[in-house]
Amino acid sequence: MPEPSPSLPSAQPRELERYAALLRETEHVRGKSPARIAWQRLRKRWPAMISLAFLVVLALLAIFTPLLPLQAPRAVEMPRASLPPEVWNEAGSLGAKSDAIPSEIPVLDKISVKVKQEDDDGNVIEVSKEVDPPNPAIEQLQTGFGYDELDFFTRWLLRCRVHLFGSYAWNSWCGTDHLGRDLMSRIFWGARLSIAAALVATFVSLVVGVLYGAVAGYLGGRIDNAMMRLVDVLYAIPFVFIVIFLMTLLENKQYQETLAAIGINRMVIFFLMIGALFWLTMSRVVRGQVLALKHQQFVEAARSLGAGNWWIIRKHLIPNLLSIVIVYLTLTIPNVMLIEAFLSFLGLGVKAPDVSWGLLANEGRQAITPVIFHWWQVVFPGAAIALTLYSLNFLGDGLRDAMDPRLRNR
Amino acid sequence: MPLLTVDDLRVQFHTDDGIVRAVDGVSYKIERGETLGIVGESGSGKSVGSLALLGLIPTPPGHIAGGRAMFHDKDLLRSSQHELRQLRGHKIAMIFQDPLTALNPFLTVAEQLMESTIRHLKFTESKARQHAITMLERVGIPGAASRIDDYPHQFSGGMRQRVMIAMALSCQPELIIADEPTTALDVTIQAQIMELLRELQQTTGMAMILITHDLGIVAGNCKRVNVMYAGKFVEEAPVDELFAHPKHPYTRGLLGSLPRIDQGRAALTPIPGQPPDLAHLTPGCPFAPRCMNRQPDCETTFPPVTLLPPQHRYACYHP
Amino acid sequence: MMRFVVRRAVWLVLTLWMVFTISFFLMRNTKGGPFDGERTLTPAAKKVLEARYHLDKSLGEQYWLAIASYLRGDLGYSIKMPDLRVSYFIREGLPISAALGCLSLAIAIVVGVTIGVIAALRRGGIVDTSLMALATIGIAVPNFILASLAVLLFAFTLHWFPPAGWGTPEQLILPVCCLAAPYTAYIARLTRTSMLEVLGQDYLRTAMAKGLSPSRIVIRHALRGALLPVVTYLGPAAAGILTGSLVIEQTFGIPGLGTHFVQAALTYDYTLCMGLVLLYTLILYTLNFLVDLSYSWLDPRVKLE
Repeated sequence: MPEPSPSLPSAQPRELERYAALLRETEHVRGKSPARIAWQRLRKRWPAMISLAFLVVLALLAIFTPLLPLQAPRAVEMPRASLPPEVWNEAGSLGAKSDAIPSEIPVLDKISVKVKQEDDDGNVIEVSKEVDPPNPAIEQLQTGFGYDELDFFTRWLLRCRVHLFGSYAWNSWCGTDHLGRDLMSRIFWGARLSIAAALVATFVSLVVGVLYGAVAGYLGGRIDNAMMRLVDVLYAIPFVFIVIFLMTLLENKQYQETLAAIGINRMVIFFLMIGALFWLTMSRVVRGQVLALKHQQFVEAARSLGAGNWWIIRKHLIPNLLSIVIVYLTLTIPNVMLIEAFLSFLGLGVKAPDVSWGLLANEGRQAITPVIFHWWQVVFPGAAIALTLYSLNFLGDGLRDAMDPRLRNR
Repeated sequence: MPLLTVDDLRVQFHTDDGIVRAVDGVSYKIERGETLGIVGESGSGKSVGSLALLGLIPTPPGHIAGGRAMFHDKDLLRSSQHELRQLRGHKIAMIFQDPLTALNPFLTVAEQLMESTIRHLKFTESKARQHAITMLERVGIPGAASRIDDYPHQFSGGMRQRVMIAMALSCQPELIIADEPTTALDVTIQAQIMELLRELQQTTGMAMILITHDLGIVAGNCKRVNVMYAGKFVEEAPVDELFAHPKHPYTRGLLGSLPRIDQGRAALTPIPGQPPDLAHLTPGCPFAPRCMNRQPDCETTFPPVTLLPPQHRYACYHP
Repeated sequence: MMRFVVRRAVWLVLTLWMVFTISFFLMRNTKGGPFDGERTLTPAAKKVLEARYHLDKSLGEQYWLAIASYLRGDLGYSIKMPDLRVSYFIREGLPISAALGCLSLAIAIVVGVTIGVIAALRRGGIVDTSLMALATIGIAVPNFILASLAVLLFAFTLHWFPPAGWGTPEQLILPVCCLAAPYTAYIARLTRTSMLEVLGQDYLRTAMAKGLSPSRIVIRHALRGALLPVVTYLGPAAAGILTGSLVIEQTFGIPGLGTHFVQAALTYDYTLCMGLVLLYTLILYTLNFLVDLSYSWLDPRVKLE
């Protein structure tokens, strides 16, 4: 407390003392931050906590899939087609040597080859160049894992896996598919694609929706009205049908070439479309929240205390928006995964040799007819999807309950 | 025999922070036609106590942990929900604080007024409607017959509270519990509503429990006052006696923070400190930390109730 | 009210025009006509076909011709089955899909709301937990997996219902249930949440303080407020059921619009595809309009503008 200057009237120090006393009092009634309260409340909800744990494990497994001693997801082995699950093999162990995976990746010296080149004058000359020699191990990884198409990190993990486990791989614990590929490995590799697709598409919808909603809510008035009317109109458009329509149009070679030229492939279009599908709800939710927050008394109180725009956005708007956005995210991701599965069902989703859960589930669905009954081909991918969506739903419910102050103590 | 005798009422809530004793050993009596004021700060358990009488505590987390509440010869706290439903709205009615949220926004005023007479007094549809219009006229709603089919949001705040009162009185209850009936209203409207309640009480002869945090309202409307603090009984006395000779330091503190027209511009003296956290109460007097007369014994056990004849009771070691 | 209807109608026309224009130009911009791949076509036959679809005219002319014919309600001919008009597919498929969709939506609403209310009233109990766990399964399992498992269990194993087909009431049960399942589940969860919220409202306490019976409190006082979020969800639910019908009609071999649409999409039958997209837009828009109307009927505080 600053020392009152002697020139002030005598009543002033008494007043100051009173304020100081009030301040001391408030020291004792310090509240907990909403995030901490939410976390404490979430921890008591076991379905949400189990779901959270499951999702964390799932995410870790998906990231480190290349490191796990799984069989090669793309290694076609017709003699092994549609084998039922086998945990222990005849030798009684959990895994065995796989022919599709190299036992080591030899480091080969570069070799020099002669290449024909044009020099500055346009004459064709022969130049010798140092290149990597053909490496049989890498070629094997290429057929088994699609090595060349993988990103740097994944390749590195895959090489680590070969160094760690060699060609040892777990048995087909979930059985094999109709081409003799190991289903468990395909589910793991499919998880990477499915989860990545869900996250990216959700992120697209998040960015678009939050920006649009926040701008509309913050500006208010006529602009808000017009922006939300547009959302209303877009709501009435059956986007899934348009997505299907566009996807089939984009199958056209001409479009694909044009798009590929600017670095857009099928997956990117897929993300953009799904993002476009889900930003509507997000923008509505965010706009509603911003509108409500703008007129909240604590925001006006902060403003009357001289808080700047940035302070208000950082301290009041973002924390309050965050909870609703997080809850909505946990509900969007399942929807995106369902749409991915749906497009796979129609044959418009991920294309082989890539693999996603939707693709696996659709392949599995076809393995169930009155004559053939390869249940594992639908049950395991289906269970992977269902468990993930189940967890996300439970986590979303738990989060919503934990973050809703009105539900406190219930 | 008193109309209602509440004896050692205890209500608890199980929360994340532990057990909250919202009402802890509160007793009072109310005679026919009498008005009893129950006064306390927000969170002192005054509303919870009256809701508990009607079995309206949300269970869980709340539950009634003990006590008796004799209405005629029936213990309300041990009655089944079925028995209580016969009493609620019929013999005991309630008026709530905020008429905006307490009236159903989806139903017309007519329907909300008619349903209790149809249920309790077995009125026919048309008779109930006629009665509802009469009730609206009695509470002073102009053009009652034409406004009866409006929705609550089409009324102003004061008018809504009048509708609420008409609703509570439509079955001619013997006891009415008014839970802060004027807190959500403008000051000018407050006086009108209190005036209306007083007048209706005189014509119908019903008893009223007036729950409020405002001693000013109590002064003009009640015969006796019961003061509560942190869910506990503090002091009870006839109004004049309480204002003239308050015994409990908390009551004195409340009176000290009340502006009075006869004392000119003397500074109001707030009670220092904050009300305690009900989940972590010490065994002693809950007011002790803020009390000027605090002695060591205040902190160990809750003081017993002292009777100052004829009708003044208080719970304090060092008044 | 009139203004509301008129404004909605204007927006509908604009929306349809937007969808039409975008689709039209994306479609016609593909190099080479849709008949280039057909080896069996003689140049003369190709000419006839191109004349029929106005492909021999300039793009602008094509656009105006198409708009004019659409305005007349003529959706043109299918590209892959040139003898059939698009309206033929609609006439054949729409009644089937409408029956399937309406029935599923009705079941989803009735069953979903009932389950949600029961769960909310038994909050925290074993009934609530198991109903909600069941509902979450309905949400978490993709439609086509659910459908194929249902066929496997009820058609092939138990022989209760036929696995596919259309026409008899028995053939209706499985597809309707599979189509309704996710939306039933969603509506149940939605109802539960909003019911819990309404049950905590002050006006419910007032109703209880009036001594009303529990059934009257729930039905007359609570349900109306609790239904508002459900009504809001009906727009998306209708869209979802339209989407789901693609899967369900395929799986159960039902000759509805969805089957035609998927076929059209997979065989690049642009005119059929576009006609159906416009039809779906019209349906969804109308449903959304009805939802808004019912919303203002449910909540007296809402004014239509």
